[in-house]
Amino acid sequence: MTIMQTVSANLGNRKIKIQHDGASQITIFNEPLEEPYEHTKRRVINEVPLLQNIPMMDFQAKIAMLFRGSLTLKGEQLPLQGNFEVDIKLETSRSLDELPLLLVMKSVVDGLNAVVRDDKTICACSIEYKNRKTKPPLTKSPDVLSVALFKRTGKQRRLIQAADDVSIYVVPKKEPLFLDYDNDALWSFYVHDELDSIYDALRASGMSIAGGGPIKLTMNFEGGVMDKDLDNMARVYFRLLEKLGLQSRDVHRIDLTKEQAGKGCIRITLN
Amino acid sequence: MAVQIQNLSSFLVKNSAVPQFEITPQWFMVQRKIISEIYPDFPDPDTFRIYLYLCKHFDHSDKRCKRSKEKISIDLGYATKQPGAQRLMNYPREVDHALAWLENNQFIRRTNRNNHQAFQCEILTAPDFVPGINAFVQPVNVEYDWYSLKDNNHGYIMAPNKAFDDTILKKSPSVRKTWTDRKLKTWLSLYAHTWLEYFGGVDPDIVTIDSNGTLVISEWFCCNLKSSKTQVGDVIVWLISRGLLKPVECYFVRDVYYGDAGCCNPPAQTYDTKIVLRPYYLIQHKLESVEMKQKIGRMIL
Repeated sequence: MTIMQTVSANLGNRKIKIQHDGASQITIFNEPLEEPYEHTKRRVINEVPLLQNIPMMDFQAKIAMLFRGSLTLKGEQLPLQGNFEVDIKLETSRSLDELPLLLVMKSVVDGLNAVVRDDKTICACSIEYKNRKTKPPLTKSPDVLSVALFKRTGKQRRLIQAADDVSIYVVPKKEPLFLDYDNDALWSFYVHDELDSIYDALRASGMSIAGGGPIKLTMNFEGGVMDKDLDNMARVYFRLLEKLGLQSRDVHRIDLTKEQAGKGCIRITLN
Repeated sequence: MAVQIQNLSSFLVKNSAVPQFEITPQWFMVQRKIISEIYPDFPDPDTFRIYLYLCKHFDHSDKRCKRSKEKISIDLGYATKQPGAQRLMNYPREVDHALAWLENNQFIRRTNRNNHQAFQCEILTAPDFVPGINAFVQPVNVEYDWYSLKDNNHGYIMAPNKAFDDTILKKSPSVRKTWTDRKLKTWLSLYAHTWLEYFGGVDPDIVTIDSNGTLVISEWFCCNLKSSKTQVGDVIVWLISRGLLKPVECYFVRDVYYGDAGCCNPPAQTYDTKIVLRPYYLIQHKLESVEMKQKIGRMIL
């Protein structure tokens, strides 16, 4: 039986409630935050020219191609309309240090952005890592990736298209390079301040995440979330978990969901 | 196996009154997609080279490549006109096959109205490949122009025409032996990662030379070329030995190119020094961009 503690954090002139069990469960009663800047294809942010990482862009273009080709053959109109779920499996001889799962997920989802109308329509996403003991031949990719796209209707989901066991070199999401190296175009004080307050409240009441894996991470986002990107929200709270001691290399599986609700809430579980 | 550059210092570019690079206005576009671990190679060396040739001679203003089969055959050394002959008597089989393959798989669309009119074609957005059924499928709503390709994340390579002169695409056995498919693909791919304003040459995360003279090549880059690090390393060493890629010592501030060590004082900010490979042929308008304004004076050209 886990004992949940209730604490509160001050966000400006507002107080929010947080519950946690000191080790593996956190519930934050607040509207989920998301990363303020999204920059998948734009060439300029705050008037600063930028260069996206070309291997990452190519990886995303390849993911898009794997789905677009098959869907076009089936006569589907692109982009697809509706709400979606994505399941990703990554089998590789590389370590999680090279392939942080949340960033791999982000990269795959950004690739699918060319197939679904908007990645905001993805309401659930999971990724699983499996270490391959055998090294592939020198000319082949060390990674084998499977991606499945489901259409969601009510609580049901139906497989639309899958790319199974593709030998493709996986490139996690990377930040772009800014030409003007003095500019901090990505910095946002707002998200950092809120996270700091939540972190302080958790820390002061004894929440800490022990090292060692494998860990299965589940994050559910509730509230006015339909216009927010699932992986962007996840990136914010993943940073919070990292501050609390979570190591990205210990996370072997991530499950994310979002759900429209009257009251905002973030539920995090580590197994 | 690490690939070593012998006598690195003799290859390093030094500031000199003589031009070290050739700046050229003409360039052409090749889609990055055609070189990848999940995209099949062209069925034979002829088709690959004829496709590059068509890309190079494609006129974006009227969306046509007006090169007849005769012109293609003669330019690429498949045939020579007999003295006094008005035209070629027969088109070489390889040229016919290559053009038919490109047309059947939707890389090009023939635009001559009938067989009496000389061959001409439009280049199409390179088809998607569906591995499960080994089929090419033309993507819908993506035009073969710079803006449409970029907006739809169909990346393309900007390659100087001079770097891919018709002479290196020729059919002759000696040219094919010198310019193998792997060399052409590597040479093209290096241009995909050449961003002068950000790196002063090829992205050092793709390929660089460390202080011991060892080539450091990205695993992703090799995998994309369906090649091992040793195979790609050998090609890069060969390109350096031919003067087509020149190692330059460069200053970087926060991973962005600042200037050449032989041409400017070190930056006032914290900086790194990296050896960058700069292609011998550079595209003129890339050097004249707004982003290059501050940097061009610090670059050996």
